[in-house]
Amino acid sequence: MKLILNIFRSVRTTNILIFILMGILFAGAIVMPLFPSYREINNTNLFRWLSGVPLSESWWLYLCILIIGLLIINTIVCSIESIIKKDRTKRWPLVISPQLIHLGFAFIMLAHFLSSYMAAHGFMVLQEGQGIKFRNGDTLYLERIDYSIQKGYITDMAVLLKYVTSDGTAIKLKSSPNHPAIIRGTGIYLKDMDIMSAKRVLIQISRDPGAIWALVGGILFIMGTTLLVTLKIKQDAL
Amino acid sequence: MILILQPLLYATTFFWQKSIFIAILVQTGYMIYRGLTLGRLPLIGLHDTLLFLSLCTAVLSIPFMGRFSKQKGFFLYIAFLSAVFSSIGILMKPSTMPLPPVLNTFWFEFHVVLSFLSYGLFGIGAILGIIFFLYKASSDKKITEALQYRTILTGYLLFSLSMIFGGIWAYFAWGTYWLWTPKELWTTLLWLTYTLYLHLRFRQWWRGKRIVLTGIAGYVIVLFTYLGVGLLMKSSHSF
Repeated sequence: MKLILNIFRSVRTTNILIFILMGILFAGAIVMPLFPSYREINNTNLFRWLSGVPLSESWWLYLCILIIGLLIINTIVCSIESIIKKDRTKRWPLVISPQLIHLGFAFIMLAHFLSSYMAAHGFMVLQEGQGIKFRNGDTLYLERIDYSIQKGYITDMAVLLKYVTSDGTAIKLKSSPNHPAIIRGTGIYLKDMDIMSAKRVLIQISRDPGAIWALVGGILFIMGTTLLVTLKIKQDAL
Repeated sequence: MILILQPLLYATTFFWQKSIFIAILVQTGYMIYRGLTLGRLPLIGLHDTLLFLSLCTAVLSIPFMGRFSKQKGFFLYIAFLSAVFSSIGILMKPSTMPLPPVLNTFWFEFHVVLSFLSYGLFGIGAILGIIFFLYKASSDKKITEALQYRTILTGYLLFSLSMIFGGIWAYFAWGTYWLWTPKELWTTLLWLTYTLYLHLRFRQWWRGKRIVLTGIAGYVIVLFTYLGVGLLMKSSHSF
């Protein structure tokens, strides 16, 4: 037990794990374009995608999850030890800033886990007047497509939607690129538009429960790094 | 004419150091002109981004110039990098297309600007690594190594911020803050490289030439992530 603890509280372990993770991502970047199965990876959540893909194509992702898991344990153990060791120091910002960074990292990884397990994405092509019924009985109608063109390119586009709940309540929504309509925690995204043949749009429905935790992690990470940069520049004044 | 002038002025720094400031002014003027003509930040495609990277590298090196006023190598390497980037940049076709709706957001602008500012700092970090090997005195080496660390740490902050802004933008644009594409993997690999650099420095054995070399190696990954991945692999990024 003590041996395992010693391994996990070592910065050397951190360095080895980061190096291995870099190698795995390098392998992943080479493997991804080789298999057609990767075209679907962003259309569903990671764990669902993994369950339908042979190990010979997805091995590096399992390794990636394993190493990140070990890295999180290493991060938590190192942080706890650092706080205990440096408890008496008066320069608490220098103690706290790396821990904020580590906490931010842990939140971002938690977010990835939630997204990999629970995120859902659906795609549909709709024309004006068409609708789609969801499993909960709610219906989404596409009421109007708006766009503007400049030099032959679409420079702006939006769709007006009507969301009708199963009890008959109608809610008007608008979705445009970078401004999704959000309803009941689900985003309705306008992904693409075809005005050449039929006037139709590609709509994406997405729910990503990890996103908020990734944001929390990102804020903590940046707070910690900013504090560390400020302190290090002051401390190591040359 | 103003295009050719940019790498030429950076190259002139080899003979007259102060021409780097004229190069910066000319390049800034060109970028502003392009921005005003297009009605947006000129940061789409290799032409604009290479020129912006060239400018970032030169501008961010200004605070170091006082310290390295007697070390001509620093100016020469900065000028060399900026000249190379702007030379390739002017050969690329400038994008004149209107901004696609998905790029019309300040999250995208922050994401790109911060990326290139961090690339500029990582480039300066690599140059400081080369300067480290040019110095003979151990005191000079120690100061240069510490400067490389501070430069890379600041670059790391900006790069992390850029990744977070990229994630926010991706969430609003595509419904997820992360996409599995080779570009995202290489960006994470780059972030891990500098995370490793910052952690390796905790170990005494790595201090000195080993850590400095890691800082130089990191820049090779920067260049591949920016240019290599965009040109060789299919990705959500056009650069």
